Amino acid sequence: MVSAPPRTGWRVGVDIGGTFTDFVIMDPSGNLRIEKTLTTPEDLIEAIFRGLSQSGVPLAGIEYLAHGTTQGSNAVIERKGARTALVTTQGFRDVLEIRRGQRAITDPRDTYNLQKDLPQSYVGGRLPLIERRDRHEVPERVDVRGEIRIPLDEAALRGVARTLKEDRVESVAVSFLFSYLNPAHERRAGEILREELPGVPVSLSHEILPVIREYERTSTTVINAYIQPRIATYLERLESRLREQGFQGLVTLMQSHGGIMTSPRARQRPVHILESGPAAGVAAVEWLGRRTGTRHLLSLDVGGTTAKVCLVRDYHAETTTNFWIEDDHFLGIPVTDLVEIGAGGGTLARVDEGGALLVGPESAGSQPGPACYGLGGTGPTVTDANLLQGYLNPQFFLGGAMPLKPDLAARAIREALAKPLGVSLEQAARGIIQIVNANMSASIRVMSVQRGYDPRDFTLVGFGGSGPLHAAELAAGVGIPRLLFPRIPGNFSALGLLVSDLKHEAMRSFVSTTRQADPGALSRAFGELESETLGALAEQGVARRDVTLLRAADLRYMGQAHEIKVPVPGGPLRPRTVHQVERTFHRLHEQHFSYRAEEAEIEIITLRVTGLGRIPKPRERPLPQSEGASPSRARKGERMAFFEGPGKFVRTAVYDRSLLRPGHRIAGPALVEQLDTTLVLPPGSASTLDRYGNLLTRLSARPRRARRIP
Amino acid sequence: MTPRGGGARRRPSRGSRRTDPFTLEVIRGLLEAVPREMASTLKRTSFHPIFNEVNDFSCAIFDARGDMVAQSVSNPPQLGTMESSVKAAIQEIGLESLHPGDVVIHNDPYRGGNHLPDVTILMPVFHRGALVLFPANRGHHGDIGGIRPGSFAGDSTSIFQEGIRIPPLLLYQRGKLNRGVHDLLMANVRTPHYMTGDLRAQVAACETGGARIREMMNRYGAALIEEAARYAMDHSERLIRREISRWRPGTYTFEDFLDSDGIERDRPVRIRATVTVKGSSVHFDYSGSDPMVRGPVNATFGVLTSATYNAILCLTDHRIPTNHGCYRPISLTAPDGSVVNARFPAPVVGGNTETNNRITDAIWAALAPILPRRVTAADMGTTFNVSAGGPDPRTGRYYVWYLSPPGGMGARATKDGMGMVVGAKLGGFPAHISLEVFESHFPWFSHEYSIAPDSGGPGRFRGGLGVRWRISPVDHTAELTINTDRIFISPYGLFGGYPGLHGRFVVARDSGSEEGVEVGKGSFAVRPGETIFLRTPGGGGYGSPLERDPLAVLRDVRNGVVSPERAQEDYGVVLTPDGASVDAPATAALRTRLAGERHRETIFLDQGQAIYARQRFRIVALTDAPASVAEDDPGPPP
Repeated sequence: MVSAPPRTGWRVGVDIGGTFTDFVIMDPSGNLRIEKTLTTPEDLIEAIFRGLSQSGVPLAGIEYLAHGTTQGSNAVIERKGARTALVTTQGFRDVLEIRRGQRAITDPRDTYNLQKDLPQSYVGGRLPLIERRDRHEVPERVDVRGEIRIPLDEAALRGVARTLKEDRVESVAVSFLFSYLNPAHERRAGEILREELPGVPVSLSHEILPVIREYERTSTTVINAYIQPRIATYLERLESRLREQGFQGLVTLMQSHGGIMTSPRARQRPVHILESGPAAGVAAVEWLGRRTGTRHLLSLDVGGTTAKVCLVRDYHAETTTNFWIEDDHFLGIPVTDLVEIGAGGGTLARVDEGGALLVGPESAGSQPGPACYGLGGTGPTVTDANLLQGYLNPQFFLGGAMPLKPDLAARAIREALAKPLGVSLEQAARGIIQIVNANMSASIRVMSVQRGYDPRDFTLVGFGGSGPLHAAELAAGVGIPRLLFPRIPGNFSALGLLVSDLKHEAMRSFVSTTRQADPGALSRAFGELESETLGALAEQGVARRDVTLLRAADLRYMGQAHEIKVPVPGGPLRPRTVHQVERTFHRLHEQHFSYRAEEAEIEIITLRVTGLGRIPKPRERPLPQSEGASPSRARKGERMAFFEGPGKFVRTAVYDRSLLRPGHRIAGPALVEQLDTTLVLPPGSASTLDRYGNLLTRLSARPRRARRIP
Repeated sequence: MTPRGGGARRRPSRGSRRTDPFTLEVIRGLLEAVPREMASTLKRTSFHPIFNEVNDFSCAIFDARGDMVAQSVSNPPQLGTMESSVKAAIQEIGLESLHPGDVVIHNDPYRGGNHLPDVTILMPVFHRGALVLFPANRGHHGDIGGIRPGSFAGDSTSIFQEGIRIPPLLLYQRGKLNRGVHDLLMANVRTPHYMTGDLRAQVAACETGGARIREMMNRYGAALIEEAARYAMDHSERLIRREISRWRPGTYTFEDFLDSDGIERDRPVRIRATVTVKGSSVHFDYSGSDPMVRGPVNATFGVLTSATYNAILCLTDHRIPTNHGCYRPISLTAPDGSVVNARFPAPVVGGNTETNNRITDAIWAALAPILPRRVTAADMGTTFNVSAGGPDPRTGRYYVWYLSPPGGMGARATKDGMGMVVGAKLGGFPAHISLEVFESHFPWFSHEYSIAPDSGGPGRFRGGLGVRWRISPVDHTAELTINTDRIFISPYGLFGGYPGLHGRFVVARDSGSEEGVEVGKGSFAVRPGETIFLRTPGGGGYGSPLERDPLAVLRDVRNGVVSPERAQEDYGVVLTPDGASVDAPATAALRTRLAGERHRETIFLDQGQAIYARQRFRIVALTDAPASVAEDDPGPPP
């Protein structure tokens, strides 16, 4: 049914963000439009129906509704999930709360922070997802060879189940030591618990994340159990309300790695949709790359509070299985590998006591927002600086719905920054941009240079409300020669929901070295993972002919603790194919870490199969071609704007994006205004519009110089 | 990397022109990113779990004088001594003798270092023939030789028993491995198969840093980078001085004790810190600390410096970027030949962890009266070093592991102490090994790994909790070494808070007998079937336990981290018979009675050791900070 939907229906992508709920709607003839409503935090479903009715889309005509939601991560961050219990191997129930004994994980500034709060049950603590009294132990033990050392004490487990019943536990996670090697005990525990606790969902660690490291596996399993009842209720409510209004289509969800899963499956494995928002934006970039034939892209998604940077190579973004939620909980399922920092339009600038200008990570949010909004904010923000640099049109912000006040921006920057630093207003505004751009550049470097990729091979895609304002200067700073601005930068993430395929990833621990591994055993293991994947996709309605299977193995030099994911060819494996995989590993290791160790043995840790189930994509209709290269019809005026190259304000042409047509050429400096953002095109740049309305910009090759002031 | 011309050249001065602060801020950001990237390479390419599971390493960059420009998230005791190690290396080898492609290796505690297992690697980076910066890192190797596997002897009496000393030497010369140095080293350690790969990872991390620095040089020029480095240091110095200048001037002193040096087991070792706050500077005088001891808890001057820096950085705004500028307002003196300024060839391996901890403990308690909201009660106060080695029955190869299980941190003025943190003063990045990885790498079996109930010191705010860990060797006899402290003398409580529960270490023999209980430092042959029990100390409490919110006590009891008995005796909280709620009238009555009859002295005499009791009593005697003093305290940073 997924593979052969009626071609007459509407397709809708809904992305729920902190401030706005964004829609991208494709009508039956392939025209795209966008819609935006304010998010309704008390009940997220409200905003969905408000937006749908605002857009006038007939609910009965929608064949496909893809959804990205922060419901899961909100539940974890706000500790608003179900009353969940954990069952572990005797002696190990505290692994969840002890974690790995770290108190500074992602923020280097925590090294000397004695006031930090950890996810532990104490006065001032941030609470674990499951408190100690709800963590139970049963006698059982599997050893490092996968052999049973202590048999599962079923009577004890039934006793625990009775306690859980008395405690009215709403969800249960089971995590036994070494269950990734031998899941027999976990399986049996699952049977017993389901029998004793009918209707209570049970999450088993070997099903959620069958890999080594007990804390990491337990934490991921617990997150699944913790959010499951809430996500299930949410999805059931959403679907029943849709159906009441005549909806007959398919509801799907974006997973954290950019693939889609159907709603029934998401109710079983909600842990996969936790980070769906950032993944959707990257999925849109991958699609844009394929659409425009651009293989290597850097994705820059800048909103009100954060900037997210991701690298897309050969049309694909990498995933990571090493993700922390707020430094509190480890999430080991594949998540689109991106860097997120506190740098957006609402990010605040301040002068510290040592006289340095700092930008972020604190944000003015949408309330009170930047000073220039005139909503009571007095702290200078990045948006205030962008306004004073001449980038934003005070009369055309959100299409004129919200006039900006340059005098308030100037006052905020003068009082808080220019005066204490002893510099001019212009210099202070410029300083904010320089520093916030430096912070974002650092993220771009983390994703590119630090992993052995040369930014010169990439095209930067700027989107989100503020991405297009900063993209060109950032690109020049890190040496990216080309930029791509999608037609709908503001709702681009919601578009990602409509252009992604169904995805299922199966994995299995396979501990061996490449030298000792039996190619036959490897082939069989991959075969089993492939049938599991095909089964999962078939269950979600995908026909075999629409499935693509990809194999990979996580490898490392014997003794290392961190693996590199290496692609593995399909079909039966032979010694020759194993050698090929080894060679790829050496090459990747050298690329990432500057050396290879040909003499060392290579360990296989995990085998993975990724299944992609093709979903029909929007077939956007090309825009009508312009009559000539000159965009004079779209030119709406000019104003003074500051550019880094000349180091001063220059007269800059302003264009209306809605009037630009394929074939138009724009020479920088220029500003291109559209409803939800402004594109800043520096002097020396040359831009053209493609047939789908994407703007491709090439920067001049002139290097940037550090400026000196007397 | 090709040298062009020799000698350090400075660009001509540009008169009174200065670079705009925003450009400098941008370059500072780039400099600070370099050590972080180095750390990522080191973690991902190293071989021994001590690097890639435990994160026992630090990365930083230094200028040509050896002053630290930027550091990664890492291990403060290692970092604090890196500067003196780098300076010693520069002095001994000479800047003029260093060339592109050279890599220096160094671990000597008596040349600015801390202890032998921590090996420093540094690499000079040149621009147009002039040496500009050193990317460097220091990592704790699983074994560096000496009498005990894991090179963390609890009973060494000379540095020659602790492993191989490496003075600053060139491991690579103009890009080529110095085979002689490498092979000599490998012949003197138990697990060369790990060390070879780990050294290569350390060098790879420096190369990563070097590549990034050269890119910056090409773009901005060396002069601008040097200016940015100076700018960063001056900025951090201003911030630290501003904080210190708000502290109430005066001289404050405190003594804390180590259990023993491991050799003379009934004699505690005194650490005395006298802190003088004057203007925007702070001076430390360690006179009155014991003379150096026979066992392995002597600290080098580098370790003393490091512990002092760490203490101050934890009491100032943690957001201040850490570099050499932070150290400028700090000065210190210590008697030559004392336990905090040891003379060659005294054994030092535990000085870097145990004595380091106690120095910081003494400083924090000394400053508690003027910074009551910044300091915490005492934390676990030990790195709880435990290591083992033996032939792996699965491979026949010798293995070594060294670990430090997590314990409690001290309670704070407004909240409980963080619990289950690896080496409370190690900066929070080092981790305990995953038990599944532990059993995969080493022939050992874990029976239990859990929170230790009643380990957090009672107080209005409770100290953080320690852990219990029970392990056995599988199919072989292992040689196990313990080098810990706070087995007798518990971490102190503050302002009426009780001490945290001391640690415990036991070898449970087949015969049913127990060994090691009285020691905390030593070595044991452990046979298959025998079990090691470790319990790490909890942190001290803050404020009187009779003032703790009874509902917080109830929660602790329901979670099984405080027993009903301790709830009643220490906190004066009585629960209803079903244990589900607080019996409010009974609690009020009990608390009134306890407040009246509580003799503080008796609380601390339970171990029958008068000397310890006196010491603890003094700490508890800081019961109520005068209100005027509390007002001087800037409070915790936001």
